[in-house]
Amino acid sequence: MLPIMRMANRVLGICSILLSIVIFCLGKSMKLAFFSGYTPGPGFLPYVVSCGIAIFGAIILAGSFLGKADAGEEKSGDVVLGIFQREEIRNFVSVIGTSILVVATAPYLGLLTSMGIGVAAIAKLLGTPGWKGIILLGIGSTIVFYLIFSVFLSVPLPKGPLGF
Amino acid sequence: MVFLQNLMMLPQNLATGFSVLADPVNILYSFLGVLAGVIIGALPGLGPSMGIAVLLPLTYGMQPVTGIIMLAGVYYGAMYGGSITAILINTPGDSAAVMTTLDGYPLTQKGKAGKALGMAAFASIIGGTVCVVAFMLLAPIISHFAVVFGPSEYFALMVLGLTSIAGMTGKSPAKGFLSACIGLFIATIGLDVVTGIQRYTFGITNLFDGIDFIPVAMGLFGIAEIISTKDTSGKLKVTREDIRFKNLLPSKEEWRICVPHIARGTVLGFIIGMLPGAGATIASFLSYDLAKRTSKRGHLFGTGVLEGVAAPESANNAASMGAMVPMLTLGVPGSGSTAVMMGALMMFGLTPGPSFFEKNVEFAWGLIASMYVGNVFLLILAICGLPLFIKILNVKMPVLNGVVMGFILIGSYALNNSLFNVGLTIFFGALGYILKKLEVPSAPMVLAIVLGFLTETSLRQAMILLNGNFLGIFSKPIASTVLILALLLAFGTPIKKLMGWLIAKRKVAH
Repeated sequence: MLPIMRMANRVLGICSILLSIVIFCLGKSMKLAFFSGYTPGPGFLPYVVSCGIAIFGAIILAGSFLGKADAGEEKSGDVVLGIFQREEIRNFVSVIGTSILVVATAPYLGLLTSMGIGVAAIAKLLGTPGWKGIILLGIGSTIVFYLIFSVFLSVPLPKGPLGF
Repeated sequence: MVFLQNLMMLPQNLATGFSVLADPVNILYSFLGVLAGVIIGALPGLGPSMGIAVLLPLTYGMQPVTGIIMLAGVYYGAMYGGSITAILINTPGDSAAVMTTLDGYPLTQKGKAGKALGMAAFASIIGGTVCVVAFMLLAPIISHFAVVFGPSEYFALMVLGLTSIAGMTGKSPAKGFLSACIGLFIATIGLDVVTGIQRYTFGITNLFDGIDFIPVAMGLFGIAEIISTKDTSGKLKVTREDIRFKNLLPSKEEWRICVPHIARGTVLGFIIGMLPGAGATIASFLSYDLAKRTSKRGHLFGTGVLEGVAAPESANNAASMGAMVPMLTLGVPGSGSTAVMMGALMMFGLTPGPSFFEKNVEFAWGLIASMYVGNVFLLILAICGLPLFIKILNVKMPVLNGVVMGFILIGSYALNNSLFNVGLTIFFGALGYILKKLEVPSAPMVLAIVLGFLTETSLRQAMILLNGNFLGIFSKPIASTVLILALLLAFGTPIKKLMGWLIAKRKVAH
C-alpha cells in the first residue's frame, strides 16, 4: 500500500494538470488572444498561469513517485479517511451543508431568520448538547446580526414573511 | 539627507497622525479592534488572517482610516492573543505562537502561568512599540526612493511578492506556487480591463466585475478553519490566584534576564517581518533559537524559562509591524494577514505603494499614531482583561463556530448585497479545507488574487513602454535586481537541494 500523503499528492498533481488543460482549452474556446500588438492580450495571463499550474502539478506528481516516504507516514489504503478524519468530515458536511441551506432558504425566510436557524443548526451539529441553549443561541445571534448589519451598518438584508 | 528630511518632518507628521486619532470614533475602534484581535487570537486555530477577514464587513461604510485602524488593532491584538492558549493549554492560537508553547506551558505546569502571561504581554508590547518607531522612520524613506518606480519595477515587485510568499509558505514550495497560480487564475476571471472581453465568466453577470478577494479570504481562512478546529473548552485549569495583578508583573531579576532577549527578538522580528513571505512564524522560530543559543540557561529551554516566552513573543509582534512596511510602501504584502489588509485598503479606494505616504498623509500617519495607542490598549487588556479572555476560552467551540459562521455568511452578503458572494464564500470554504488537508497553503492564493490585477496591468504597461520586448525589463537596474531576487527566492531551495544531492553523489563516487 502507498503512504497516504504520497497518494494524495498524486491525486493533487493529476487534478492540477487537468485543471490547467481546462483553463487552456476554455481560453482557446473563448478566443482569448495571447498577444494583441505589442502588449499581452486578455489570454496572456490565463495561458501563462495554466502552464504554471501544469508545471507545479507535474512537480508534485513526480515528487510523489520519486520522494521517500516519511518515517512516521501512515500506511493505509484509504486516502479519504487517512487525510480527512471522520470527525472533520462530519464537521465539513454540517458546516457546508447548513450554509448551502441558509443560502437556499434566505430569499423565502429572510437572511436573518435562516441565519439564526443556521447558527443554531451548526452549533448543534458540531456537538452542543441540549436544546435550550441552542434555541437561545439562534434567537440571540439573530438579534445581534440584526443590530450590527441592519441597524448599525444599514445593510438591506433579504426579508422574509416575518418582516425581517 | 532623506533620513534627516524625514526626521525634521517627523513631529509635524506625528502631530497630524495624532490629530486624526483624536477623533473619539477612531480611538474607540482602535480599542475594539485590539479587543477583538486578542479574543480571536486566543481561540485555538483562529489567527490574525481569519480575524481580519471575518471582521472586514464591519468596516463597510466606515471612514477608511477608521476601518484600517480597527483592522490593524485586530492584527497585532491577534498576534498577542495567540500566546494565551499557547501558555495555558499548550495549544497555540496561531502558528506564530507555536514556539511560545515550548516554555509557556511548562511554566503553567509549574504554577507560573501569571508570570508567563505577563512576560508574553510585556515582550509583545515592547516589540510592537519599538517597531512602530522603526516603521515610522523607515517607511517614508522607502516610499521616497520607490517614487521613481515605473511599470517594470512594479511588475518586478509583484513577482517578488508572489514568489517569496509562495516559495516560503507551507512544507512544499511547489504547492505554494500551485496555490499562487490558482489565485492568479481566479484574478483573471471577469471583464478584461483593456479589451472588455469576458474571461471565464460563462455569461454570469455576477462574475463580470471579477471575484472579490473578501469572499475568498473569508472562505479560505474562516470556514476552512472552523471545519478543522478542535474543541479545547474545559481544558483550562487556571485559578484566579494565578492571574492576580502582582503575579503578572515580572521581578527585577526576571527583567534583567529577559530584556536582552526581547531586544534581540525585536530587531530580528522587524527585519524578518519586512521580508516578503517570511512572516511572524519564522521570526518567532529564529528568535527562540537565537535566545537558546545566547542564553546562559540555554540548556533549560523547554523546561519553562521566561526568556523562552519573551524571545518569540517580542519577535512575532515586531514581525507584524515589520510586515506593514513593504505592504504600505511598496504595495507588496509579506503575509496572508497583510494581504487581507492590503485588500481592505483597496476596498476603501486606497492603493498602497510608493506614493501612498505622499498622497495619504493623514491616513498613513493616523494609522501610525493608532499603533502607539493600540499597543497601550493591548497592555491594558493583557493585564486587566485576562479573566474575560479565560472565560471566553471556556465557551464551547461549536457555539463560537456557529456564531462566526453567521458573521462570515452575512458579512459576505453585505459586501455588495448579493447571495452570489455568499455562495462563493461557501465554495472557497470547502476548497480551503480540502487544500489545507492536502498541505496546500491558502495565503499565496489570497495574495495572488489581491496582486493579480496590479501584476497584469503593470506588465501590460511595461510591455507597451518596451515595445513588446519582455527582456527589456532586465535592462532596468531596479527591476532586474528585484526579478533576480525573486528568482533566487523561488528557486533557491530547489537549487540548494540539487547542489547538496550532487555533492553527496560525488562523495559516494569517490
